[in-house]
Amino acid sequence: MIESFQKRVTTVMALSAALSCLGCSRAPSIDIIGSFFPVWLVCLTLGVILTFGVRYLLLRYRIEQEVGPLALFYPCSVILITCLLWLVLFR
Amino acid sequence: MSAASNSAVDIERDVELARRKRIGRNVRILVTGGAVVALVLAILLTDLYPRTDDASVWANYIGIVPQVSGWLVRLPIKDNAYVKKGDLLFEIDPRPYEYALQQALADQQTLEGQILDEERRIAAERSGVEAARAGLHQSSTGVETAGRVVDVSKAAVERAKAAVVAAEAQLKLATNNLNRIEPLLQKQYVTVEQVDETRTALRVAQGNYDQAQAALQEAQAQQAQSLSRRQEADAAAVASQAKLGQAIHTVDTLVTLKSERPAKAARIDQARLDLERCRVVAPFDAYVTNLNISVGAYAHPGAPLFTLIDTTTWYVIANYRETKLKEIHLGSPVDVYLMEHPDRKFKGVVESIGFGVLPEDSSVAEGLPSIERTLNWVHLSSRFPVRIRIQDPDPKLFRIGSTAVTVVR
Repeated sequence: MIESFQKRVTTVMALSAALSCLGCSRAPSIDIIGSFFPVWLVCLTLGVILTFGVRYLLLRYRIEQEVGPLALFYPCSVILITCLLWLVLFR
Repeated sequence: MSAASNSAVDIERDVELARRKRIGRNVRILVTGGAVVALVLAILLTDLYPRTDDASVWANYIGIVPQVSGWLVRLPIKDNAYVKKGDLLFEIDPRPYEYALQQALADQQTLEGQILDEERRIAAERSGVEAARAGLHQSSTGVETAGRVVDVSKAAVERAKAAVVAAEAQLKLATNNLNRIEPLLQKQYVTVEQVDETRTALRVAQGNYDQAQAALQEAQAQQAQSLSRRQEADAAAVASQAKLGQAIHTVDTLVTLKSERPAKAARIDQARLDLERCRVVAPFDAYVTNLNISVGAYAHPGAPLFTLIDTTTWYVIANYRETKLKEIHLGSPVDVYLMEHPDRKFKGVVESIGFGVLPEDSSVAEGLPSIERTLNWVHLSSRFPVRIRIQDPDPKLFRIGSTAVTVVR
C-alpha cells in the first residue's frame, strides 16, 4: 500500500520532468469567453483542485496525521502545485 | 498463543506506524520545501524575464491624400486588400491636367516663336542701324559737297562783280565818248554816222552793264541757294545722327522675352507633375483599410481617402512597469504571443523604450498646480511603452490593435 504511494509519487515526478522537457510554449494568458486571464490564476485553480486529490491520497494511505499542521501543509501543497505547473508549462 | 499473536500484530502495527510517520515527514519536508523553492524560483524568473499582457500590435500607417482634385475614374482596390509596392491605388480624371500640360507646351512654343520673330526684328533693326550709319555718312558727304558748291558760287559772284565793274567802265567810256562827240555834230566836225556809232556803242555798253548786273544778281542768288542747301545738308546730317541713336536704342527687347523661358519651363514641369499625380500608387507593401468610397468620388487635395497599413515592419507596443525597465535593454530578444493565435510564438527585439508618459498629478488650475490632499500609502508604479519590433512577422496574422503578450528574455 505504502509502496504503491511511493510509486505514484515517482510517476508524477517523472511526468513533470518529461513535461518540462517538452518546452511547451504557449501564450501566458488564457482566453475564457473573450476575457484573457493570466495563467497563474488557472494554475492556482488547478493547484486547489489537485490538492483535493492530494488530500484524498493522504486519507487513503492514512498519513494525513503524519504530515504536520494541516493549515500549513495544504497551502504549501497549493503553492507547490501552482508553481510547478507554472514553471513547467509557462516559464 | 493469542497473546503472542497479539504482540506480533502490535509489532507489525508499530512498524507500520513508524513507516507512516517517516513517509509523512518526508512528504511534509518535500511539500513545504518544494513550495518555498518553487515560489522563489517563480519570483526570480518573473523578475529576470519581465512579462506583460498589456501589449498591442502596432504598425505604421499613412492616410492616402490626393495631391490634385478631380473625379476618381479608377479604383481597383478593395477594403482590407493587400497591395504590393507600386500597385495602382486610384486614378483621378487626368484630362484637365493633360489639357493644362498641352497649354503649357503651347505657351512655350509661342514664346519661342515670339523670340524668333523678335530676333528677326532685331536683325532688321541692326540693318536699320547700319543704314542710318550709311545715311549719316552720306549726309556728311552732302555737307562737304554743299560747302564746295558754296565756294564755287562765291567765286562766281566775285567773277560777276568783276564783270559788272568792267561793264560799268565800258559804259562810262561810251557815255564820255558820246558826250564828247555830240556837241561836235553841230559844228559838223563829226558825222552823224560817227555819233550814231558812239550812241550804239553806249547802248551796247549799257546793255552789257545790265547783263553783267543781272549775272551778278543771278550768281548772288545761286550763292544764297547753295548756302541754304548747305544748311539743309547740315540739318540732314543731324537728323541721320539722331536716327542712328534711335536705331541703336531700340535693339534691347529680347532680354525680357528670354527671361520668361524658365517660367514657362517651370509651368510645363508643374503640369507634368500634376498629371503624374493623377495616378497614385502604393508607396510600400500594405493593407488597405477604411476604404468607404467608390469610383466617382471627388478627391480634394489634403483630404485623406483611405488608410494604408505598412506591412513591412510590425511592432508590439508593450506597457511595462517602471520597476521592470532595468531588466529590459535595447536589442533584448522578446517572445511575443498574439491572443488570436496563443499557440504561436514570434521572435521580437526591443527597439526602444518610451521616454515619456503623462504624469498623473500634472494638472494646473488657474495658473497654479493643483495637488490633491491625500494620504496615499500605496502608490501604483507608472508604466512605459516599450516598442518591440517583430523579426518574423506573419502579415496574415498581425492586425493593428490586437492583444499580445510579451516576455523579454
